[in-house]
Amino acid sequence: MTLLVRDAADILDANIRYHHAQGVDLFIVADNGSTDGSLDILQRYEREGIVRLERIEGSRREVWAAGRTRIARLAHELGADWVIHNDQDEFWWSLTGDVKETLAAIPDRYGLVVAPRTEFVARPGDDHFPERLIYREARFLHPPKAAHRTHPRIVLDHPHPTRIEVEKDDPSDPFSGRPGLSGGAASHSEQPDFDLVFAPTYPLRVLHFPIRGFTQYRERIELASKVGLLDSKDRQGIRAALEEGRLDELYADVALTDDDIRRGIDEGWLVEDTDFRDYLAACPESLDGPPPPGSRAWSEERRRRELEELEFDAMYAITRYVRRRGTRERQAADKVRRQEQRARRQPREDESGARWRPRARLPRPVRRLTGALRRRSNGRS
Amino acid sequence: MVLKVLDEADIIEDNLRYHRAQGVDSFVVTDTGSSDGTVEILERYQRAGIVRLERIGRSIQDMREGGQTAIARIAHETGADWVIHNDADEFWWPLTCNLKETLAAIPDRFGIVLAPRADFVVRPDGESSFADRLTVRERRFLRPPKTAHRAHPQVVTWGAHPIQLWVDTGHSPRRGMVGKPIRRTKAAHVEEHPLELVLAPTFPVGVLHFPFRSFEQYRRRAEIAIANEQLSEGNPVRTAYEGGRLEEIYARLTLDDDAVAGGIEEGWLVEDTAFRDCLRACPDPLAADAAGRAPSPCGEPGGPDSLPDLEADAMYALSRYLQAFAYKGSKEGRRKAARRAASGGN
Repeated sequence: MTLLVRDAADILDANIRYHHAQGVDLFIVADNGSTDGSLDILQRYEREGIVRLERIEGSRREVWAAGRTRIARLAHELGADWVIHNDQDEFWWSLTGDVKETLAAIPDRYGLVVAPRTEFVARPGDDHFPERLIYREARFLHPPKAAHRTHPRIVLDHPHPTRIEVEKDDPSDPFSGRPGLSGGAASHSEQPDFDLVFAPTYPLRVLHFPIRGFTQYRERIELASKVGLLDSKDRQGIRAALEEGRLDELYADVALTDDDIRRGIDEGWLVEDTDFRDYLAACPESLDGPPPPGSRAWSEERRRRELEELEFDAMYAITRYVRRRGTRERQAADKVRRQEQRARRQPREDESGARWRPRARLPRPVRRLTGALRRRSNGRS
Repeated sequence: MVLKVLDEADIIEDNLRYHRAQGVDSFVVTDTGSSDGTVEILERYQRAGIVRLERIGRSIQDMREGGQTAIARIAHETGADWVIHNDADEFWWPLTCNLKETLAAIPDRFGIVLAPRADFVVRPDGESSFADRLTVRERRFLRPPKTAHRAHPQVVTWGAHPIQLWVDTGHSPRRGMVGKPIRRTKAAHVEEHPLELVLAPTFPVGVLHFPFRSFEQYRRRAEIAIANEQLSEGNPVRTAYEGGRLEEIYARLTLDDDAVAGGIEEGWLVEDTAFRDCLRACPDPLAADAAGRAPSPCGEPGGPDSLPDLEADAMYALSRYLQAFAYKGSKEGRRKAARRAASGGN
């Protein structure tokens, strides 16, 4: 498992203990300048032999992509079979046992697992988060995360499934479409070097706890402000609240009250989920203690139903990605076509060197007049 | 089933006959200027109430700019439950039961079926029909996949591939899922609008593609591609066409028996006579006793046993679509990072 952290002392210990119980052998953690005690936690687990600590200096923007790629490749060098790209506030829940055996059961021909993600909603209060945060969105519709087989040439700028690729020499041609119209001889369409095909099953889901209490919220906003994440226009409100010392008001708006929770459950978009809380509470203090049963304790009926729901949410995400890619491609193609049409309208030189125009030119005074009129009407509109 | 056709007289009847036997109730066909008798064939089927002939676009370009959407919506108006985007040279091959039953078995919550596609390779010209001569195909279905989707009044599409389709519900199709919790200022429900036409997670249909069936037909395809500016200047096929040397290209594309045996040995080709036999058994829909259906592919190569392989090929296609996205994204990311570095900002 790889983690890129900065100031995560309130959740890091829970994260490592939880995933260790889920069968994760090694945590490669890139620390980007923590000052809040996160390093102490990491060094403790480093001595236990399950954390490999890398320090990555520089601004968040600079280290984001390069740092992720570096730790993902390091996982390959250290002999891991799968890399799970994780964040400090995200917990991978297996629906079919633990995370390790679930990944081990993926057939060889697949190399990447799409893990849909949900969020536990913010609640008032400031004490330890797992006891307080037990309501989550019913569906897993946040951008999914990915785990993939390790690969020496992995490249990623983000731990989402569509942002991970294997570096190749010629990645430009995704398919051989148009047979026979490229002039080549009869040949293969297969590209054997294509790695990391998405698995057709979705046995893992990600539980996300982005906002856990007012203290953590304030620290997170302050950090975001420091690294320039609040500069954009749509975040001006948050920035103003920070500068005017009104973050507590904002937090009161962000957190859901008991009434909100009841309404959300009635409307069907929220559910109570105490599985995670109970699992974490049952994780052994010592690293070699027996892990809690997790989803192994589920009835087969429940497992089947939850797998089915998760599959739908995964297909929702994949459909969105596919559609976004398609419309983007179409916009690019339309742009090229418009340029071509424009180029065709431009005057061309014929063989004698004379300019060729589609229409006769109007006399100069008339051109001046119509031009001025056009400019005026454009200016008005 | 919706079809756009242009000079397909050698194959269009087989296509209608085959898919009719697979349970397709009606065909909405748009012709973009055939001159080889295709229209006359279609008119015969129109009189029999099987085909609805539409004249929407006059060119391939028109189809892209609204024509494909128009025929997909006509299919909805005519009461179809599923719309299969097809070409005259493509045959939808369901692995378990017939095509109609296969689509009917897709759970309600899913709306698009992605159908991986394989090409039958070019074989020497001859007297017999294409299906009798072309019995060797690529083993894996790795060509760009095709699409069938539930009929929908607001569907927008500009091609027959799964990425070329969305539903116009007034929201940008590029609107993604909601991330970034830090941006929030209210305890609001962040679930997106219901997404129409979600891809199905199962892949029970492959598409058998017969792009080149004779030199004459190949020449006509090259001509059409050149007329529609699909082959840019300097393209070897265009150069050969203009120089009267198209036969040379066709000869290079054609596999003789030795090449076929070699391909089968290497594992990238397989012999597939199941389609030929199935097509033979399909009844003529214009005949008086037209009742009948295509034989089930059970027990055939390419039957239910090959479902896991087809699934792998479908996931390959999805991965390719999305990882080409990753490639572009990382290129953009690198460009942006370079710009930031150049401007000295952070």
